[in-house]
Amino acid sequence: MTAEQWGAIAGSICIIMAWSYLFKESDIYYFAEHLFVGLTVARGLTYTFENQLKPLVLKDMAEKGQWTLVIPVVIGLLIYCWFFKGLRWVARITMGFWIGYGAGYSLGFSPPVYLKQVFDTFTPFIKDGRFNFGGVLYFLVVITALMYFLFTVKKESGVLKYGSMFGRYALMVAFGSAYGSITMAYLSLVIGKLQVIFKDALHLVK
Amino acid sequence: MVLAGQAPAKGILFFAPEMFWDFVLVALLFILVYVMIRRANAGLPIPRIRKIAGLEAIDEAIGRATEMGRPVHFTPGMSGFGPETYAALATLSYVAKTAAQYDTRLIVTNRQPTVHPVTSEIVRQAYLEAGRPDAFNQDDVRYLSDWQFGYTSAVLGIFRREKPAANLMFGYWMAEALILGEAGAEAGCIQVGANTNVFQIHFFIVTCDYTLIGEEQFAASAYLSKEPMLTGTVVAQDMVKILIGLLVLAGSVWATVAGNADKLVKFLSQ
Repeated sequence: MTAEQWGAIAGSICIIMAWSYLFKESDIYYFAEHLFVGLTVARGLTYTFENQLKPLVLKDMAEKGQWTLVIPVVIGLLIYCWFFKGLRWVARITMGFWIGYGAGYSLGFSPPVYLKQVFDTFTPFIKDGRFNFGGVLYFLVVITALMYFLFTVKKESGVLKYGSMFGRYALMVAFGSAYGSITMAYLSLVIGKLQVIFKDALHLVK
Repeated sequence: MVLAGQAPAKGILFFAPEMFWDFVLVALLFILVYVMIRRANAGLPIPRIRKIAGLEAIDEAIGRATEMGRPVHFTPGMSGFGPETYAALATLSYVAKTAAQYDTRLIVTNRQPTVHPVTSEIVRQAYLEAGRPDAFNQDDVRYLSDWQFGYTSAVLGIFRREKPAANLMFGYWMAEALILGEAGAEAGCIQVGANTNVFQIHFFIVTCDYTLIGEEQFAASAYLSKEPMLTGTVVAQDMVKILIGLLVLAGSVWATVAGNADKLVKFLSQ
């Protein structure tokens, strides 16, 4: 047997162990859970070492001579001071960098989508001399959903009250539609796992 | 010559020229936030934030856990540092302080290794502020796995073994939303879920007792702290939303009258 076939058999056993939960909680399921969590942590460590640390040291620093990268490396390493009671404050420097970088990155890369989204909502109410029902509905949904997300404007009566209510219902319809389609996609994941068992491991399906 | 060839074209150094109006919009938001904060500091009236049921429910959830003598589970979501995580961390601070005051055990689980030490410091600080530094348990703030479903499996194990009475899921969520929501409901938790991912939020709506939809999560820190200064920032955001609504109206009217809004789009894209 090839390594792939052994992999399919091992994968099938793990899938059945995990699915045993559907019948009853048991030690088999607990074992599968712990195995899975352990494997993912190991994978995370290996991935970080192979794809981030190794290229950084061997390629970027040693080969390309980008020694300025030592600065972020040192800042990153300061986080380990967190494990030492007296030096815990030093780790906050690293945390500060992470938080600041995250905020800066979000601010720098989120704004570009603002107006593009607004442009996409420009829709004519009358198209080719006919009332554009779809366009008007689209416009109403956008405006009323915006009304729903106003937090400091009083919406006790009038247009804002009913608009906000309409916006909430419109959101629920959209979520319901997404729920249906994504649940179907999840079912296809089950089919994928069944393929691993019946096709790859047992060869019962071609 | 090589350096000259690699130099960015004029005008692209700071921001793309076609994004001038985007820049104006963001700058306007900054100015409005500044003005509202100044107003709040000067003691001028600031509108109140409307009731957000999901945030009101946090106290109820912690209270329930206290009565049942079971822990509260909190997670700041799946993403690294970004808007959702910041909102989740602000909420965590409130949750940790309330849990410390009620002497209720709080379990915080993290997927992101970078977010983990920050959550730990936030919880530690909250316990300190609540006057109960001794009650803080480092082992209750946990890093589980950076792999999406590895983290999810580990949280399912915590639900089963430690049986929390409340499950608070804030931040950004993806395909694990349904799995966690369903497991929390099965474990009998009162659940509050918050998500900005429109492709997954409906799973929280069907599995959680209370759900914060999109922007509601970002109003959390102002809502929970009830500080006029923070509320001022929400007022500023509302003003920009109204402005955007008016722009949508103007664009649609333009498209109706002229047949399309290409000229307006072109003008705003320069």
